[in-house]
Amino acid sequence: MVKSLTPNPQKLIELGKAVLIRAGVLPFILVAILVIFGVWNPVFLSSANMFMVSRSATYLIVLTLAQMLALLSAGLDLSLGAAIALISVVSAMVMVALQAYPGVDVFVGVLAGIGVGALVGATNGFIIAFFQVSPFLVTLGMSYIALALSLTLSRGVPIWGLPGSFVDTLGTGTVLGVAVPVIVTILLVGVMYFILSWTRFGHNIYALGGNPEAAIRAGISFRRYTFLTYMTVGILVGLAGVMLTARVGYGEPTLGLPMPLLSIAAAVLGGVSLLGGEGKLYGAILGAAAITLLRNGMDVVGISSIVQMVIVGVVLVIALALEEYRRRLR
Amino acid sequence: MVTNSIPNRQRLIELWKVVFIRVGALPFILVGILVIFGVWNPAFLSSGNMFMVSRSATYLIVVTLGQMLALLSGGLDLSVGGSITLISVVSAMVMVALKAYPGVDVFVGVLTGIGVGALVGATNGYLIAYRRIAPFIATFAMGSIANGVCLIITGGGLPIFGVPGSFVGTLGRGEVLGVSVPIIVTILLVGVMYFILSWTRFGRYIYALGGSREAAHVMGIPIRRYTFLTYVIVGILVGLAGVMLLARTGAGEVTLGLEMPLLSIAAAVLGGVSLFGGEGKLYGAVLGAVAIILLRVGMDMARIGSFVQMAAVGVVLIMVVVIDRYRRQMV
Repeated sequence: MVKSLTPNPQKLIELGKAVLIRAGVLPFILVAILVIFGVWNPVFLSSANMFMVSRSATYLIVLTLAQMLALLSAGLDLSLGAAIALISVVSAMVMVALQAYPGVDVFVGVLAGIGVGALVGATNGFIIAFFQVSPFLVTLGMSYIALALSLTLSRGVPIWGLPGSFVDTLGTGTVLGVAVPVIVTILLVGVMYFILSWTRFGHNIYALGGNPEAAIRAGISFRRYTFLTYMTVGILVGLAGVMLTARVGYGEPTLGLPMPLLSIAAAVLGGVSLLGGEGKLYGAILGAAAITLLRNGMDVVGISSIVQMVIVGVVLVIALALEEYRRRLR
Repeated sequence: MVTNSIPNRQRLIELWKVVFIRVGALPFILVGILVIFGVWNPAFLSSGNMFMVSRSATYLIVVTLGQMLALLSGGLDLSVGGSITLISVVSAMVMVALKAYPGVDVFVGVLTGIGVGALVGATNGYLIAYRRIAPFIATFAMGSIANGVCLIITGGGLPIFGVPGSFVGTLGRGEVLGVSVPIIVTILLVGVMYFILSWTRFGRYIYALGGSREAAHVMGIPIRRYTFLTYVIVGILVGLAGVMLLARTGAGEVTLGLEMPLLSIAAAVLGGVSLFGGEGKLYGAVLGAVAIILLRVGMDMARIGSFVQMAAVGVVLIMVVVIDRYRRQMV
């Protein structure tokens, strides 16, 4: 019995289902993005474009790592956009103020930026941990405060005059042909992987988010871990904010405002649960990559930014619906 | 054995604690706002100003009623902003298109507006109830879709003028027996909501859904259907608010709903509605919306810069949440 060689649609569907179950929703989304936009405008798939995409993806990847931490603890961080704006403004102002001391200005500026991020994170963490209140509301309120501070300090205008060395190394520099932000991101991913998979801290974060009562009864201090989680988020945001400032080349008081929602979308796309305790690092990274690819693809074919937000929302909903379908298949 | 009389101060503290536990932080905050801004600029407390505040508060109250429903059921609705914008624009466009048929144009326009709201609500409900997508994501996506559609049909954000004067005259500025129409509509809606939440099975089920999904399931409540219906009702309320706002501003505009999601959530939470579902009183949500508007108007009258206003909203939000936590612990 010679079986027909033409592909059987039924078999293809079965194959598709099998891949869906094993590998999740993300591969489909990634392939769909590459195919749709690649066909629409082949420039999308060019190596130059892909190089640029990998550079832009770094910022969202770092922020998604941060958001993932918050999500794992069954919370979230809506303040990371406004925090980036504040970080940008503060670090720029510091660098401009210390202009007379080259080298020192960049060093102190970067530290100040990361410090602001840590401060915002610590404040979030303190309130959430010690008063046991909703992260949604606290980080929402914090975002208003941070944005207001950013706009007040900068008086609403960008801060020019950043040291060339800063912009050149952290922003556009390369080491051995690899862009500096990419190197920083790879390092951070490595650190995060180590923390999440190999340290007690990491395990406890998953435990606390997944099953808080059991974790607390097992002796994990809710207050300490929640506080530390949000402070780590803050440090990551600080790094991302400083890197983004170097990228744009000036202190921008509205930098990063769409980031909270984009990072949540990326994390959720990557399989991080909104309810806490669940999510893999590579998922978050791929999710961020997918979102960046999607936005880049839409830029390349010339879709306006308002419609872009719509499409991101639609893709997210489709991805989640597929994920639910996958859960039912198992 | 003669017991020493308790010093008055201690009695006062006990009394304050009891009041605080019973009514929550909101009344104190309201009084605080009235006092602070009243002293800062006495015009704040004038009847003319209070009248304006009550008129402005109506729209936020209606949207907060809807948001409260979503929160009670254990979810939330981030689409109210984009939805209101879309409603006002579509409504305006229909009214302008049917200009030749006075009376009919307003009627159909209003119905279309409410219909759009219900449609958005139904889509939210479908995604959340039947596709099990997290409310945060589903409503956020719907909100940006509504916003995007709105921008597309207005050709990039141009306001739609030409709304019939009769419409603006009645629903927007009209008065019945000296009470402005939006206020009457709002009072009616609050009454309807009260009836639904306190006197119908539907209302009890919504509280159950938010309180504990498993318990609701065990009780035999058709969870999906009721979740769906909840969001449809939210959509209808948003539709009404959108139409009312259109009458107020006289033009279908794209910026109408920008702050609505966050303000309505803040108002509901201020009013004691729990973010986790299953808990919250109607008068709380109404008072919360009033408090937010009072705060806004007070800050405007005190000439506080818009950046600082932003920060103030954030601070108040955090403060309220923390204070409420303490109140819960005190019970």
